[in-house]
Amino acid sequence: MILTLSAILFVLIAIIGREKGVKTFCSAYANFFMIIFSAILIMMGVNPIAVGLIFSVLFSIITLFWVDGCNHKTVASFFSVLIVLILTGLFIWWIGMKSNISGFPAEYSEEIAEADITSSNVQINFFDVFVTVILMGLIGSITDAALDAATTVNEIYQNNKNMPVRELIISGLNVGGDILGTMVNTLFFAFWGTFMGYFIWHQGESMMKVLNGKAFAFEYIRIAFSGLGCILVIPISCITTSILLKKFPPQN
Amino acid sequence: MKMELQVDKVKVIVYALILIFFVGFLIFIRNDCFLYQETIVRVTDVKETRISNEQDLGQEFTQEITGVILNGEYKGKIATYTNARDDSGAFDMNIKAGDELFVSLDKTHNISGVSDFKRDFYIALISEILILSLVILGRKKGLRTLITLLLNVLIFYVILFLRGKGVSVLLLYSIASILFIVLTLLIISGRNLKTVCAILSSILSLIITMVIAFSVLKIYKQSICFELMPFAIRMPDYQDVFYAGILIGGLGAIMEIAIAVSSAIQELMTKKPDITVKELRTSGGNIATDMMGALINVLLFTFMVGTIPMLTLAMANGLPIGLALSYFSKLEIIRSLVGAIGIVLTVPITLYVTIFIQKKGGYK
Repeated sequence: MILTLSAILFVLIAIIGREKGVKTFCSAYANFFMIIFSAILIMMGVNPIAVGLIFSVLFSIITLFWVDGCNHKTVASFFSVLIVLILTGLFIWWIGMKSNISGFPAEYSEEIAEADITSSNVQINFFDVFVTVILMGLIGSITDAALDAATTVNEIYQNNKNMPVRELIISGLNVGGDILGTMVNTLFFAFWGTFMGYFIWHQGESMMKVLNGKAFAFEYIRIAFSGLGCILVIPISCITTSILLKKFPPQN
Repeated sequence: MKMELQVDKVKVIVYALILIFFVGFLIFIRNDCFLYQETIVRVTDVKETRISNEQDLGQEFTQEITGVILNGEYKGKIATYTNARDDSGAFDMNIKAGDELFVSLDKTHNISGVSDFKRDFYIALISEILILSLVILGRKKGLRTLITLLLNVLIFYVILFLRGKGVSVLLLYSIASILFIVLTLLIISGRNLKTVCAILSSILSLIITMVIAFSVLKIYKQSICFELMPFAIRMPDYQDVFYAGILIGGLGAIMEIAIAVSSAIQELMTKKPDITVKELRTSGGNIATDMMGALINVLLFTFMVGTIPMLTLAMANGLPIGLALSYFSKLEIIRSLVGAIGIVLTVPITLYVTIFIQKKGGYK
């Protein structure tokens, strides 16, 4: 079934996107295998947070430099992504620690029992795993948002090369709001599948207690950080791109 | 001059009020134990001792916990509990001083069991940060996004309620998805021709994607283990819930592509009124192809990364990787693929719908 769906996707993407479409298809599959490969590395005992960071940096290098080449936009986006990764990474770690969202929620226990994978004596620190999941989940959307913002600033700069840095940043930010609106909605709908199951499971229980549950809190914090990452990366990318363009004006 | 000063004053007061409200809400949530029926304990002290040998692979600990009861008839009393945990933290709780716990009490007012942590403060905290940064950075657009989010949550709540009354989930979500598209796009990009184009294209793309997805799923129905879907065990209609999840999952991405393509086409037409259909198709297609890859990645990361904990646990427990994937990732892979198909299909559909409507609607 997965093969059939992949085949349909491939045919469509090749017709509609031509060469670039095929490239997109391949990179999506490469990412898929990288996610599974990270799971294997974590299982083998490599530190989950190290795996997550390396994966994220690799992903953003490949997405930015392989697809769009090495230029002001991509370099600035890459630095913005790094800054946001570090900032949110620390914040995720703190809030994960404080709110105790790591570990498998009770709702999964029957699945876990059914698959007979109940031993927790596995040499893996699951707190780190859950932090890594949040971190890896946001890299796709922040790389995209960073590049969008950098492209916008670059376009404004190309039209008016004498614009001072401050104004460049402000006009970039004005457009940045547009990127944000649709992005937050995309994330919201993508996450709803899990929430739906959770709320159906707990239907009839006291709503206050349900909103404290681990499965809900984890997914909620994940979606919040994906959104927060995008929100943070847009101004940072506007600033780095503007400064980079002004300090090292492109020769052409 | 005086007017300006007054406007500034009003602004300052409004900002101050908002700030006070946000801080006040956090303080309230921090002390909202009286709202709960369950007994809540705030942990004041934890003494941890290792019970396994130092050479053992998995280290095990016991935690002697002391805490204060925060609500109910024993409010203010000290209670104790002994908790066991191991260093992987897969299934048990690692309790720390300062944590708040939902507990049950025995006859001597001591803790007989801990059911969960109280997490509402952190959920409120992150929500406030999200709302503030959305509005500060996005200004009006951010505020509009916020309104759409709240409306969508409300619709979801109504759906849950109606499902409880016995209405089919799939039917509810089919109607709701059209409502989501219309509301979200109208609020975010306003009442104009490009929004109309985006709405029509989104609905058309969603229908075509679902026809493709559901026919493929129907053919291979036997090979999906819905039973292993998260939360499936307590749902009699879990198949419908899964289909509904597929329907909703890619909806945001479809809308994002549709609005981007239709605005791009409109801009091209305004800038160059005598542009040919072929030129429009090429430039519109170029813009969309760039977005396509990024959005497919966003969906892939959202869906697939979430299964990493299960995959690692399964593999570490000796399950072969193929089996682990088909148990815990298959449904997420299907969701990503259907979402990707939706994203790709939306591009040509929006191109043609927008060109058709714009041509009819006065632009040459």
